[in-house]
Amino acid sequence: MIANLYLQGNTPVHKFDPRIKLALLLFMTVSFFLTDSIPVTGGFLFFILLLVSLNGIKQVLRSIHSILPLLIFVAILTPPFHPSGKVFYAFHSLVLLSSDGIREALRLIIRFTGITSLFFLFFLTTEVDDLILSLMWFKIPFTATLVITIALRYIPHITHIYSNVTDAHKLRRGTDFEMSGGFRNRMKNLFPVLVSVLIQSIRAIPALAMALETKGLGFNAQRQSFRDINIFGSIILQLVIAFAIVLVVVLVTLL
Amino acid sequence: MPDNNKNSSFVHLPAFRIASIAIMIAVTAIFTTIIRIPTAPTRGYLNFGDVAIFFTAITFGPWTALIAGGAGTALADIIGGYAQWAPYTFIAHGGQGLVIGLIVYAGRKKTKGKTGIVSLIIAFVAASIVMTGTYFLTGGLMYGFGAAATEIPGNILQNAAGILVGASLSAAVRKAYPPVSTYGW
Amino acid sequence: MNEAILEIKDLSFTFPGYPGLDFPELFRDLNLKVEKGEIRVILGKPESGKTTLSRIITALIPRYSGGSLSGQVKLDGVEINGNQPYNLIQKAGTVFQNPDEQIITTRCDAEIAFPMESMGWGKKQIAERIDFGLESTGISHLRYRDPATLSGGEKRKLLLASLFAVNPPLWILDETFEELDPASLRAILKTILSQERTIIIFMTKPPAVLEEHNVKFSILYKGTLFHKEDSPENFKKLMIEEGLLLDPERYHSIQPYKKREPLLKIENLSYSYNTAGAFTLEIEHFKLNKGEIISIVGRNGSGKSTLGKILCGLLKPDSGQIFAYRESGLSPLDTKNLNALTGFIFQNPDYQIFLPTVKEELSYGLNPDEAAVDKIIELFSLPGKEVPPALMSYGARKRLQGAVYYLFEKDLYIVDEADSGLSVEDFASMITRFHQKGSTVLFITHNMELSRVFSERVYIMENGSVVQTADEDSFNLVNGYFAGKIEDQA
Repeated sequence: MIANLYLQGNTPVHKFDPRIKLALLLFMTVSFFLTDSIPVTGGFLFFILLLVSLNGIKQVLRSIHSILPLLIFVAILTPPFHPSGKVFYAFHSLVLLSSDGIREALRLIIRFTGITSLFFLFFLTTEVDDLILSLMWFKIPFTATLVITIALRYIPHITHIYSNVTDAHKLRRGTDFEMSGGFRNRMKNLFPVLVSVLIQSIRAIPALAMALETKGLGFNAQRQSFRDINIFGSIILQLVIAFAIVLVVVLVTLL
Repeated sequence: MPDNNKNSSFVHLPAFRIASIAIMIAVTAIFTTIIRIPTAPTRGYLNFGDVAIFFTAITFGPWTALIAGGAGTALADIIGGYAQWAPYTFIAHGGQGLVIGLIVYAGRKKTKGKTGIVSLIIAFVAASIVMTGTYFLTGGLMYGFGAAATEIPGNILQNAAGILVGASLSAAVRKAYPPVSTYGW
Repeated sequence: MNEAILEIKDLSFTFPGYPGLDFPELFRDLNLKVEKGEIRVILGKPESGKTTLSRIITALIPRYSGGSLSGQVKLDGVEINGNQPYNLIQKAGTVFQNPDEQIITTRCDAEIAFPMESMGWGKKQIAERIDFGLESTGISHLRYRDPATLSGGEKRKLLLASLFAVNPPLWILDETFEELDPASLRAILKTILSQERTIIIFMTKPPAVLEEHNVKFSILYKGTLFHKEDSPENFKKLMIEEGLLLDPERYHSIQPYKKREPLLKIENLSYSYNTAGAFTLEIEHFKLNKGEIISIVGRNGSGKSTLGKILCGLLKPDSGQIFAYRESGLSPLDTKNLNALTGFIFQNPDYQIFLPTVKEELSYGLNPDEAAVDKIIELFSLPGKEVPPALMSYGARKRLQGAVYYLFEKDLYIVDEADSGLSVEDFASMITRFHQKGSTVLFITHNMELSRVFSERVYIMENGSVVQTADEDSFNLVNGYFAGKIEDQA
């Protein structure tokens, strides 16, 4: 269930060191706020979508698909709040569409789409394990990454419990048990299922704690990490490219 | 507080805390992605992520709810393909969980262990402000305050479902499985 | 005389109770001495305290359970009392009964690495030990797999690989060999015993393969340990009494095979699993008669549980039809009909429990009167009306499941993994109740003995199809078949 986004591939982005990617992710997200210039941010967006397209055009569509409704909202709702500039459409004295309005809407659409596709690109090309190892390299405490790793391990497990509990309750209730109908009806059937799922999940907690202690959690030693981050190709080259990108972005936004 | 503390002397152990946080992260992620009910008034669905957060805060306390709420919903975003939201979701729901937990636990100190309706209402209001407010601000920055404002009613509804169902679930689970009453911190 | 690696003296322990629910004393004056290099098998019926004992040895209990513990436990000369579990991992390693409770990562090599990372061993050493662990258990090909995708047996091998890697002097295995067939068990035992180790194995049913090694047996009976070397006859008597050795004479209350009216039948059913590489379940003919007790036997993964789920309408077959025999003739059944007709006792008794008292669980959806509730509680030996089901023992929770379905008056009762967690007594009494009502009982198991003693007819399944059927007359043939198949693989 996890790593829904990750697509195996051989693109240069896949090969990039995840730590550099993470840093660039943060930097590029901020860069969308550094300038108001549409050509510049549009350029950023274009570049990102270009990298996404290395995995196939389908991925480009995928990246925008989920935010499309929101983008439409933005297109419609933003212009009325920016009525200055050349007026294109007004309803009596209410300016609904003007050149500044269009500009602002475009700005926001590019920004949001840019950030969305940026994150999409990151998770498309980076494995969860590498992300976690990168976080550890950035000195995020082990406890934090451990908690995420364990949670990821339990998500499919508890999903399985939910499906079995639903089966058991359905069998017990017989024809009564319907997952359709209004809110009240659904809740009537869902509530006992959720109680059972929660009890089972909570029961797992002391068992998990015991497992952790028998695996040495709490042992008085400097913890080791046997896994290394996957490094493809020359990290020097990647650092150079990364610096180049940062330089270009900074220059372009300053101009 | 029921004197079952001898059953739960392990609640202070790091292993227990890590375990309970990890499991509740998983529960929150699942409640957010899988458990949902279609709602007639608003288009779309009501997800049970906020239900899980209220449940965690009332049952396990502010700190578990902070991390479970934040990381659980953020993970749900990443899994679901909305990774761009993850950082803001973490803040919005982590803050939500923290605030509910602090208020409910402070309330318990006054009523000697029972969770009062008043503290639940205050928690609901505070949670709504934190969660809806965070989404409004970050959404506004990302794609404009006009569009961000349209999310407010839906978010408040999520919080309402959260308090109603979450608090009921907490009561039901504590009755059916009493040891959990001692798992909070 | 070898030195003792584990010494338990006068151990007594009781779990703490809850308001309305007291637990009886679990151990009383328990003594055990395990010498270096010894293989000690501790038998006991479900709920006798095997897992608890294994946890006391590794300092997990009473740390995680509370309760009053007295007596002395010394592990490799070190007093357990006051020690933390994580400080003992270099002395003793455990494989839990339920592998899902012990696995914490999403990759097999990471799982094995974890304890070594905790102890701060060198990177190179960890890598070598991981290789060693994987090779020793024959799962090197699973190195990068997600443990969640492994079968039950493979998960247990993974946990054993962890022990091989860390290599503590004492290994504690809790029902680890339950699902392994004799050939795999032989191989694994050979590898484990290739180096001098001390092993304590907790089991319900000792497999024959163990006899090939120099093994010492003990039985956990009424809170204390009896050792076979002290008195072999007494030992055998206790094994029979605890249901670890089945004595058919004890269960003759079940009516013998006789001609019965048919209840339902399956024609040309097929069902494929979603996972790649899995076989398809294909059943040409299958018939159930009214009021009979039958069993489906097969190894884990043979498809028997799936067939059970199809029979109760939880799964829909891809093709084929299930019919009920009615006065008007054969009538096809859909999943809804099957739901109504059948009660399915899940292996995990906790899926349904959500109410605060036994009384409420029994009344849910039905509203029986007070007298009926009391009668059921007595029939199924449940602790009491006001007891929270979630706090009852595992066996009691299983019986509660049975009790709930009993009230539902079903025509067919399916018991999945019949003997897991249930003592033979409890299992026998539960299916007797259903049988006495006139309902059909189908139990699913991998235990041939259980099947032979309790069922009138058997269906044996392998790789998704029925390979043999038998009734009372041909039961020896059935036994021969199973035994024969296993020898071939040795």
